[in-house]
Amino acid sequence: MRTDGDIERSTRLALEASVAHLDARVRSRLTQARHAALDELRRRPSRGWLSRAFVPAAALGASAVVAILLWSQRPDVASPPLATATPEQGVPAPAIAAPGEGEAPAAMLAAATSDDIAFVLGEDPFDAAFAVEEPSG
Amino acid sequence: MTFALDDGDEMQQVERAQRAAFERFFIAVERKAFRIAQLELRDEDDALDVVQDSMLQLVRAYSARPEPEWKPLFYRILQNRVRDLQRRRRTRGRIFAWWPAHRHDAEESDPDPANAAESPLPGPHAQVELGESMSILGDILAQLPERQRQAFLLRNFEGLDVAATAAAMGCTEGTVKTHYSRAVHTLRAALDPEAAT
Repeated sequence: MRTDGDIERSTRLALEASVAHLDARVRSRLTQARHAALDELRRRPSRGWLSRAFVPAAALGASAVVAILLWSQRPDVASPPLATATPEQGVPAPAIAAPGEGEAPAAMLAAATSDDIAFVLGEDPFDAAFAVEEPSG
Repeated sequence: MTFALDDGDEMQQVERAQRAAFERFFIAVERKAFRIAQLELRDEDDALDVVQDSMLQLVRAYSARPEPEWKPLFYRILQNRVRDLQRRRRTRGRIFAWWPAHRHDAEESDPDPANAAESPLPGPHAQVELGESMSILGDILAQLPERQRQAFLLRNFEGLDVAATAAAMGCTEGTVKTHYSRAVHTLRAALDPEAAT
């Protein structure tokens, strides 16, 4: 009497024997399919390189925009906060530097950029750059 | 600049290694995948198309996944493609069933009762062992419910473990064990009727 193990073994052997002797047409089609998939894989890295180049540029651009927005909303640079505005005072002035404060924005922008990017993005894309620039000693 | 060149070389090496790994993987699975698809679809050309689609989809969608995950993912894709094709066939069959000519063809293609008659040969099990009964085995496997057949072929033929089979079938490991056990029981009853009684 055959056990379940015998049945499993004999069916496996029969199936394996059937794939060991596939006809030439099937083998040829399988080879073509494999090459098509490998060609597809070969084409994909170009998109990978593009995306790898695009991500840092996009991150830099986005961080600059975020930094400018954050800087412009600082209470000491912008107009008085909305809570203190009264109907008589009208709409708060746009958040731009007043005349005479012209020297502040560049330094503040630089300070805001590195801090705020890390805060907003949750990571620091310049880690690698800083690591390279750190003195080895 | 040197850093960029080294990075590029490294990337090329990684891509070459990945291509080589995919080629090894496809060579290892393509024949069994074809046979599994053929047993499901009962059509050689459809099975070849499904295997090619599955290879392309694996590369397109999952090339970044670790190599040990490729096999369950590949068979998951294959099973989905097989199911899609079977569904299309059923839909097409329902639509064309209204055509008299097609209905006549369908009547002609009904299974021959002679095929279900008891074989005069020494026994199906001996035929399996001799490797002469692939068509018989195919017929028996075709009679299994779809999920039992999938579990049996992935576990027994392709050699996936229970966890990988569950991942490929999109079900729990317990379900795989149940399907597999029932498939073996049914096969035993079909191949060795004396033992089953």
